[in-house]
Order: sequence, then C-alpha cells, then structure tokens
Amino acid sequence: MEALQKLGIDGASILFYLVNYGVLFFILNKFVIRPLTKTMDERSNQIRTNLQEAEQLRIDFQTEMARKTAEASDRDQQLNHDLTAIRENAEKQAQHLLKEAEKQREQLLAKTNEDIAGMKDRLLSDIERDLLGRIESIVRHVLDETRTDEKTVQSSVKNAWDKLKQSSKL
Amino acid sequence: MISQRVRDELFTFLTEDFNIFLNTVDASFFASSPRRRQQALDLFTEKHSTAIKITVKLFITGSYHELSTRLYRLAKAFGKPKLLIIQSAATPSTEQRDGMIHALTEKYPKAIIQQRVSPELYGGMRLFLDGTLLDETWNGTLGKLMQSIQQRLYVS
Repeated sequence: MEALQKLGIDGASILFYLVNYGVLFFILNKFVIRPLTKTMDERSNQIRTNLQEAEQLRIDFQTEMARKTAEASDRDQQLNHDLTAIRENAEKQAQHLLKEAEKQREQLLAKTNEDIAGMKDRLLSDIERDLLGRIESIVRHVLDETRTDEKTVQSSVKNAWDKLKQSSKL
Repeated sequence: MISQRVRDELFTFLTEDFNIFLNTVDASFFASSPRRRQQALDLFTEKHSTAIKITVKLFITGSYHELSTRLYRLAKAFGKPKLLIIQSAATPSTEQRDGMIHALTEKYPKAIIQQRVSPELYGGMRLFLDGTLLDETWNGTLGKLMQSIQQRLYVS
C-alpha cells in the first residue's frame, strides 16, 4: 500500500480513475462507438447488398448473354438452313433452266436442220423442175421444127391410127 | 308432134347415114354454094322419107365444124348419141379418113363423130369418147414422159 502511495496511487484515485474511465467509456460507447458501429454495420450491409445485387446482375447478365448467344446460334442455324435451302433451290432452278435451255437448243437445232433439209429439197425440186422445163422446151422446139415436115406429121397420124386400131381400149 | 317411129328413124339416119356422109364427103362440099349443096343432099336423101329430107335442109349452110356440132345437137333431140372426137396433128388423107370413119362407126354405132385438126399436138392423133381419152399424139407422149420423169425424181 505504501509503495502505491509512494507512487501517488491511492484508493480514491483509483476510484476516481475508474469513475472517469467508466464515464469516458459510457460517453464513448454512447456517442462514438455505437453510432460508428451502427454506421459501419449499415455500410457493411450496404456493401453486402450492393455486392449481392452486383452478383445478381452478373448472373442475370450471364443468363441474358447465354440466352442471346443461344438465340444468335439458333438464328445462325436457321440462317444457314435457309441459305442451304436457297442454294439448293437456286441450284435446282439453275439445273432446270439449263435443261430447258438444252431442250430449246436441241429443238432449235432440229428445226434448223429440218428447215435446211426443206430448203435443200425445195432447191433441188426447183432445179429439177427448171431442168425438166428446159428439157420440155427443147423437145417442143425440136417438135416445132419437125412439124414443118408435112410428110412426117402425116406419117405420125397414120402410125397413131394403126396403134389405136390395135389398142384393146378402142 | 313427131311420132316415136319418126324420131327413131331420124335418129338412126342422123347418127349412122348422115354421120358417115358428113365425115366422108369431099372437102369441096363444105366450100360449095347452098344450091350445089342442096343438090348433093337431094341425091343423098333420094330414097329417104320426107321427114329426113326436111331435116337435112338444116345442113344447107355452115362449115364442117358447125354442121358437125349441129348434127350432134339434133341427134341429141331424138336420142342419146355418144360423141367421138378425132383430133389429129394434120389432116389425114381421104383414104385414111374413110378407113377411120368406117372402123369407128362400126365399133361405135350411133356415135356422132367430129374430126378436128390441132397442129399443137405436133404429131399423131387422139380420140375422145365419152370422157375416155386414147392419146397417141407426140404432145401426149411428151407429157407422159415428163410426168414419168417427175414421178421418178420425187420417188428417189
């Protein structure tokens, strides 16, 4: 005790200090620690809520991204499918058009050949007719010359009558 | 009105006797005057009936062709005569002509014969009988020949 008194510490001081500390603790606890703790808790809660919201947003975003990606994939697939169908259809159309063109070409070729053959026949026919006409004209000319010989014509009449007499049709 | 007997007699006379007379009479007959022609016809119809003598007076004038046509029309009024046309490139000789007429009248009795000369036949002669043609002319032969050549060309 005496040692404590030598150091300036006695019971009253201790009590005084304890009361002081108690008052200080009470005041600090009442006006500083509690509001501070409350604010920190609120802040902590706010941050947690924000973090949760951010996490929810991240999840929503990922879900939306996944949905969009799936949609895009579906669209791509549909587009590819449509493109394939269009390409196939275009190829079919092209094949059909080619076949039609080939058919028309063959028809045109056949018609042209037919026309050429017809023209050739007509030309030949014209030449033959012309040739026959010329032959007939020459023969008629010769006969005209012969006609001037009365005896020959008279004789031809006699011969003709002789032939007619012998004909079974007479 | 002419009785059927007279019609038949006239038809026979026209298609047989007068037909041969007209086709065998001398060419000078057609050039002679009506009076001379009358005399020739009187001589020809001396032994025939009055109806025939009257009918023959229709033939006092006209060329051979006119008389032949008239004869055919007249014969058609009394019966159904056939028409036989002889077409030759030149006038046949009298002997030849008479031979033809007699042969044809024998073969086709009651057919009215008409002779025609057609130089465009070039040579030979042909006969038309009721739509049938017997052609022995040069022109016809040429035509047949040309037709035959044409047919052969078309077949080949």
